[in-house]
Amino acid sequence: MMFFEGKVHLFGDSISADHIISAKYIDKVNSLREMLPYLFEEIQPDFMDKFKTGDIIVAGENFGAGSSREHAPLLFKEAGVSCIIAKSFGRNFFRNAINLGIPLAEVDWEGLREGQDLKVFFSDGYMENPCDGKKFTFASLPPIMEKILLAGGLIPYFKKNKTLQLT
Amino acid sequence: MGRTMIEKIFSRHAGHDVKAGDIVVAPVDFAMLHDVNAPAAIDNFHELDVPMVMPKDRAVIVLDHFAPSPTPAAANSHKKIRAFAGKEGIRLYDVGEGICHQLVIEDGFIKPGSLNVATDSHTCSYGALNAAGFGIGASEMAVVLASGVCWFKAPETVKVVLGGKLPPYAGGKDVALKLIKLVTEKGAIYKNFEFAGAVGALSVEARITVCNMVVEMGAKSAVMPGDEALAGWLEKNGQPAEGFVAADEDAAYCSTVNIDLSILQSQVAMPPDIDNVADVNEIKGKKIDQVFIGSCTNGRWEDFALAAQILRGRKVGPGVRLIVAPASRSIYSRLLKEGLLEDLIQSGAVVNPPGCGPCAGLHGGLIGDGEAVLSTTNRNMKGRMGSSKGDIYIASPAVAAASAIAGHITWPGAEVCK
Repeated sequence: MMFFEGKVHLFGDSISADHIISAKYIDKVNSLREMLPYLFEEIQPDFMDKFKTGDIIVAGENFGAGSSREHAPLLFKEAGVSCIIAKSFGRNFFRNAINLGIPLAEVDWEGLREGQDLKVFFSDGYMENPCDGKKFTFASLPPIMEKILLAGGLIPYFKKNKTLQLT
Repeated sequence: MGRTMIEKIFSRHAGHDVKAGDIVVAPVDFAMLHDVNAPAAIDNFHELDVPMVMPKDRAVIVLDHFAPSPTPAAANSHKKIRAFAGKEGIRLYDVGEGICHQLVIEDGFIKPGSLNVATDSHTCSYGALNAAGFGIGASEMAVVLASGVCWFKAPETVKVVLGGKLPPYAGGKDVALKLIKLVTEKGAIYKNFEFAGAVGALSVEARITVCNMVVEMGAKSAVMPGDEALAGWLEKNGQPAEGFVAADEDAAYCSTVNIDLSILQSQVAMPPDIDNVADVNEIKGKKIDQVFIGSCTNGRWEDFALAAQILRGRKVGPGVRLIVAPASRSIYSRLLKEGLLEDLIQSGAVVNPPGCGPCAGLHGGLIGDGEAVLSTTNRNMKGRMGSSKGDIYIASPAVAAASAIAGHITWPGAEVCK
């Protein structure tokens, strides 16, 4: 049963993987933790000051667009993001997040505000805005992705199964 | 119902009929890693603790993003990668050999009809060779090395119909930017692009440029037809012209985009979004501090030959830095032998070693606060090429060369170059 409740951090459309974390820090730091202060540096430099473990990222279209670098979803994991909601995702980011065991859902949401609470009933395919009780449903993941996610990511999944199974 | 080219590539590899939306596990023909993502892929592979199943002659690692290493951290990454490649017996392209996508295309690893994965979002470039190329992350690459397979969702396809002949100085970059303007940066998420019509107007190199940039619309891949031009290119490159896939007449497309090449002007993407595209004459006169010609998008021989033709006997404008980086050592060598590099150097160009460098803001010519760069690369979001207080304009090598001379954005047809 995957259920998340946390504070919303709101982002607009087309926040690319480069906006999440610029490639220029990769060879400047020795660990993910050292990279964390640069998360959202160009668009919300005080993000890490406001963020608390368990909070939820809520974004518009094409979140995480572009780069296949896993650093973007990995930093969310390192920070302790509980799940990521967006109207749509960049495909590399989407795959990488599932492969790293980070729950994410495509939701055509509206009316959420920065800093408010949000409840995500992930396993049941819906989320609820506690302010007005409004529910938003979302499609469940294809079986292979759901299994990878539930295993905690692709590496633990493959270690256990030694193969990729579609169903 | 007929099948698109990408559906046929998936059908061929999955061993059964595959249509858009189907999820398959399919064998991978070729896998490439580069120095940004290889360190994590190596850690993940070791974590799996299984032998490599991916055939050793069908996987390579390229040191291109931090080449030569600008920091001790990058040098340590390279050390780790060299040791891994040596231990596993897979080919390593060391610093200075070139940019990953260019090298694997030049060296014949990408075959028509093949299914390729790499730890880079511009893997879609391989569509120019009538092949499928998909970017994947470091976790997924570890499993590809350990299993030889990957799971895929066959994408829907946007059909792009080209018509007419390109005007002088217009090329692949202008087609790519025009397409991005029409589709927008979030207009093709998860989708594939298939090209039809006057594809013959584009050289295979120009097709690589076009396919390279489909990811900037959110797309998963692109596939160009396997025509006579591609067959000729493959034979010249020492590869058999076989294995092509073609779309069925009644294949299903989610949408169609038409582009008339005959009226296509040079295009420029303005900061801070790649779909903020204008005809060059709409922003002519914008002052620039630096010009960069290179990258997996536009660092090939024909790009520099055109730039050298425009720059020959002229000087880069006062206060402008021109930085060039051939996409591979063989391109570098040919430019040198043909005297084209001399033309570029005499005009004032700084020549970087083959590699990615400034394109991703890594090293070798970053911009400072308030500076503007005109670049032949692929992304212009804030901070991509250095300071977040700088501006990035994306355009063709022709516009880059002409603008370097003028010191402001212009095109070769304008008065400055006559």
